[in-house]
Amino acid sequence: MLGLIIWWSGIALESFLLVRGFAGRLWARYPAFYAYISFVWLQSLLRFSIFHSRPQYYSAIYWITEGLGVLAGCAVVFEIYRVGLAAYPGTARMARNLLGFVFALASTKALVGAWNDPRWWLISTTMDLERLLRTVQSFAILALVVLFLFYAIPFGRNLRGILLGYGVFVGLSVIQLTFVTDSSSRFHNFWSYASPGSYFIVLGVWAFHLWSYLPNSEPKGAVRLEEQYQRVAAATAQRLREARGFLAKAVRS
Amino acid sequence: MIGVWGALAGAVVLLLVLLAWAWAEAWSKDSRSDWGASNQEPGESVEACSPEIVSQIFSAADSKFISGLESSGLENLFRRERTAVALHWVHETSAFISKIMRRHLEASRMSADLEIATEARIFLQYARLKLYCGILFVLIGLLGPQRLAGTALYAERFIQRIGEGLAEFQLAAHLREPDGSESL
Repeated sequence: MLGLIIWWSGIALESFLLVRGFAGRLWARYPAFYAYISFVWLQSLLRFSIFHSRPQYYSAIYWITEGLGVLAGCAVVFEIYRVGLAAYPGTARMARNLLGFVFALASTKALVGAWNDPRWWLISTTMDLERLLRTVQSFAILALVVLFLFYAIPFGRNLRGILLGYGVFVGLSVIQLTFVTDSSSRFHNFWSYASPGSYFIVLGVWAFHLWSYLPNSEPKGAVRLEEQYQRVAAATAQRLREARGFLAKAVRS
Repeated sequence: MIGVWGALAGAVVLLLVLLAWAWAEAWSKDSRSDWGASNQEPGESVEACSPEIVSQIFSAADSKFISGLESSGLENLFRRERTAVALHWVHETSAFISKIMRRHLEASRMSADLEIATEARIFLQYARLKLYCGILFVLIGLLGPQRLAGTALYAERFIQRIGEGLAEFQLAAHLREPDGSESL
């Protein structure tokens, strides 16, 4: 019963998030994030209906949608990077290198592992693959957060919420996928409630931070540049006025 | 593939960093942008202690003079005061280094042609200086400032050099006019 309540509450909160996104025109600002939420919302409805109408297909549907969800999540990570660092080309370049390094490291490690143990591809489950992808995502988010903090990148409330919520979700997913392999274990029972419960909290974080659109604060340099431009423009206008005055005098004389 | 413990460690570190960040944000609403918020204009110089003052603080000459007076009370007082001044210098120097680094980061995050190798080198130098300050702090407490004159002067010269280098870098970065609009 509790599980059902959490399930329905999650769907309701996702719907609410989507409605707020439309109302506050947040869709246009964070398209990948809202596409992800739409996907998760549809996925929740699909899973719920399959679970009650054709439970024999539930497992297959669950893992297919889960895999697609992980891929959609990669787009969210990219959007955090894109929006957060749009005004900071220096940090963006650093992030590209750092993320490239994380992905290269993960791919190399995976390839070396598969080379050493070719049976891995045969015996690995969808859960193993999801854990692998979520782990790479968690390292990518960690690298981004460290870089954001190190360069003191100012965050708007919206982006902070997306990053905080998605980071927590990915971190908890990795822990869950690492521990919950045996469905008969006591830990599995605990996680069957803890996981949707924590996801519900993540949805709450998103709903709180994405209530309305709040832009990221302008970088200081841009403001300074704008000030400098205004100063130059005013000085030029003044000189033009003076030149026009001289010209008028010359014409009159 | 990626080891179980590696994955777990990554996830736990991520959660801890996010929690610490959320906690810090909640407690200091306006500190968000501002480890980069120095009020000085780019290119404006930041002054550290001159090498003369540093050599004076760490000089053994004053200590010898006080010892010549043969007053243990005065000697103790002098040692205590001089240690306090030296520790204060280390503290100020450490803050100065952080300030230079903050200003550098503020400039470099906007720079379109930032070089990773240069950034890494600057960060390593920053870490090295901070380490020097930490070691000096402990050694001053243990040995007293008089025996550390050489080390302190070396650190001072090093800081001056890096400070000048970073100021030039900053100026160059601002002269290149960051447009902040590179597409990602």
